[in-house]
Amino acid sequence: MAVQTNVRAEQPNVSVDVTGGEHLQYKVSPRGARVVFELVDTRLDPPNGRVLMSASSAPASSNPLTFVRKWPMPNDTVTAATNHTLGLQFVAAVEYRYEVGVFDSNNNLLRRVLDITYTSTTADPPFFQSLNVNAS
Amino acid sequence: MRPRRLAAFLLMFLVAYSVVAQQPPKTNSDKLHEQIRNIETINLEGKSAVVQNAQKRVLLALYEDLRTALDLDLQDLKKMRETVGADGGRVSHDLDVQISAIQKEQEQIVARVQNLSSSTGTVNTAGNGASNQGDINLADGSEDTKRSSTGSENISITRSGGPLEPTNRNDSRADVAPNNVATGNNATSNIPLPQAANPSTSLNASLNQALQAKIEQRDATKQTETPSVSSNSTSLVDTSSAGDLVNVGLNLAGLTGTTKDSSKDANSVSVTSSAYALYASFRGVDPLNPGFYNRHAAWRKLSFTLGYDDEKATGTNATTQAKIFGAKYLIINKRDPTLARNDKYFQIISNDLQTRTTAFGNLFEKVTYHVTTIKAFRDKILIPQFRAYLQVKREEAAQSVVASDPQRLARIDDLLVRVNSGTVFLLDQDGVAPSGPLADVKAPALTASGAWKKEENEFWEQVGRDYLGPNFRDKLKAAVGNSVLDEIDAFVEKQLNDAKLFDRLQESPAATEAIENIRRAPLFSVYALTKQRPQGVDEYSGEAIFDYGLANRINLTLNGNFLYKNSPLVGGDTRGGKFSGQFRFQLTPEKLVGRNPLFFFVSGDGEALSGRKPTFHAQAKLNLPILNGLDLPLSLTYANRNEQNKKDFVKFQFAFAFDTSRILQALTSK
Repeated sequence: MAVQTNVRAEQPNVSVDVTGGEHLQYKVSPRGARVVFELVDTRLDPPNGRVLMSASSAPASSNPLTFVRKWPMPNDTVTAATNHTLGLQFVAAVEYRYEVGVFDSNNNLLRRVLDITYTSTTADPPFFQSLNVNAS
Repeated sequence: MRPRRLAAFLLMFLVAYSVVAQQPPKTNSDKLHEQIRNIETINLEGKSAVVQNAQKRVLLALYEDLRTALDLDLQDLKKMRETVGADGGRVSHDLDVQISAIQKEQEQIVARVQNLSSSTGTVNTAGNGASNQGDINLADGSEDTKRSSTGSENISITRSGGPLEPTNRNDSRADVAPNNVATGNNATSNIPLPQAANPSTSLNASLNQALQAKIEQRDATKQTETPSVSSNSTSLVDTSSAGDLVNVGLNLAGLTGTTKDSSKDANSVSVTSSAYALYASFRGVDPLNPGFYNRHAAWRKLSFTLGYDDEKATGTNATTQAKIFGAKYLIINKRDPTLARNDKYFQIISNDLQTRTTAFGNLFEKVTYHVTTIKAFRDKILIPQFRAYLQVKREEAAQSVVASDPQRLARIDDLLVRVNSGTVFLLDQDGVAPSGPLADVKAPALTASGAWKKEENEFWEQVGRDYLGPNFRDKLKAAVGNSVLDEIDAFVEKQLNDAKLFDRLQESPAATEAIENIRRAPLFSVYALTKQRPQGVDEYSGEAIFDYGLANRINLTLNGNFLYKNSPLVGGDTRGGKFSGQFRFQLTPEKLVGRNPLFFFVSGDGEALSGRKPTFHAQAKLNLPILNGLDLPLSLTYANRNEQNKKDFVKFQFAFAFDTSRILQALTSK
């Protein structure tokens, strides 16, 4: 595979007790000249999906550059099942770290779902990291 | 499975879930220590592999919970330590001791998890330890302000496992000096060497691999051959941008079979580094921090080249080494991704990425949920394990009613009935879990929407972790055999043959054009190069280089040189000019992985030196991609005269051109 991955945690599905106060937290930490990524709820607004977070979102931190998104937010559409996929472009970026965790209502980490670093030193094609989200 | 094995397996499962289900086990490290000890004391020597593997999986889950619990303990310790402050005396000391103990224990757990993972074919999914939680919380990540759990001494952990998971927890941090050599004139040159300690082997990674037949556009103008001033170079022209990381061009030999040229059996090497890379190293800053990158564009304009060229003296077998020094300055670089002119192209690339991301998500969902319909998987894993899971959950629900979920017991009873009839994990018409309202998920019976129940969701997460995450092929093969894998592969292939889906997964023509528009933008640079010989003539060259993409797959590079040869002989100096141009034709499309495309070059140059007749060269060159990062340029050159016998000649050359960044990537990627 052209894009290299360093996996610390990875699972394809996550169950979130939204009505019980649980939520997901997505965090993307990119490196490179110009980063391009899209975190998309792929079931909403077909066929293009609904963007939850992207490189044009306001970063949570600029040094190091970090983007964070909590899900669900008050305005988010929540159904019993959906899919959140992150697309990463390496045209002008060389590394992304992607972390996803399940948190309780007090913002305590309950489970680490994804923690992967993606690296590419050439303009590789995009890499996609998908997560099936089952809410209750 | 024989009844005894089945009974032992169910017993193991029930024990595991009964201990896990007690509240609040996942955040109480003492309870988790006790549970781990209880599971580890069960002697399974001589028992079946199924039971032994079940024990390992349960232990893995408990260790992961323990790590999370210890993270929380550390957070509490941190608060206490901060409250006590530096003047806490003995209390501070005790807290420090506890902090140290718990951190040590976490390291041991990493080793234990690695050991269990390797013995069960499971890749560590437990993460990197305490700091990761800090990372994900965006909390203070300092590791010296945490507290220990009182139960840290109660656990028996053997460090017989595999190596500790390599940590690169700071690898996304800026302002950290990279350890590798910083070279190249763009930012990608300074990436620390890739750490592929845990390459992904999940279903998700497998799907990405299946998509790697897609077009990748690479910037093949990056020069990996030695500069054209080297007489052994197969390039007649120099291109405007240097390659990623460290580019080393090794010209091995000029063949003599069809050449009348006497220069043969020589070698040359050159290394190029950007001032930006050196500056970032000097500042101790991550050159790939986008902010630093944007603020220091000017430093990327300058790069340096060092090298040597082994030459044979005319009429002798002695080899002398000429040193090459060069500096290049980019006057125009419209390919800089941070330029405002490229914003519109990046917007197109982003839009395209969104479409492709959604398409991948749709594909991923179909593939993962399809697994639930594969008979062998359903019969051997999904249904029996879910039944056991529900039985544990029912006991738990019968003992305590959760106020926020009053219908839990009724719902589980209904699921137990449905699991016996096989009507659980039902999919909708699209072959995925139905998108019903949240209220349906906790309703006591199956609703019209078909939404999965809470217990189905929770068990599905566990199944995904156990069978579809890292090492999914080994795990599925061990659990249910190859047939399931064959069926998954066939299903993926069928999906990718769906033209409509595949069309959305591909890079759109607009995005391809946007990338090309950036890559074809003009570059103009000046390049000063000198070749210093221990004896004989030293050469100096001032060069202007223009590089521009005329059209898809056709690139034009023009060089204009001023040459000065400084001879030790009085009156032997020569001055002159040289002009060269090259058309590059890309004969094969860009490949996603591995080798460069096949390139054909047509080039020529003319050189006029004082006191000498002009010389002209014409060259045709074929660049054969051998491996990822290794090219074999073959060139046929005609010249109207050479310096030795003043006759025309034809010279055939070949060389190996290495792009180390790509070689490293190929070697370390899965």
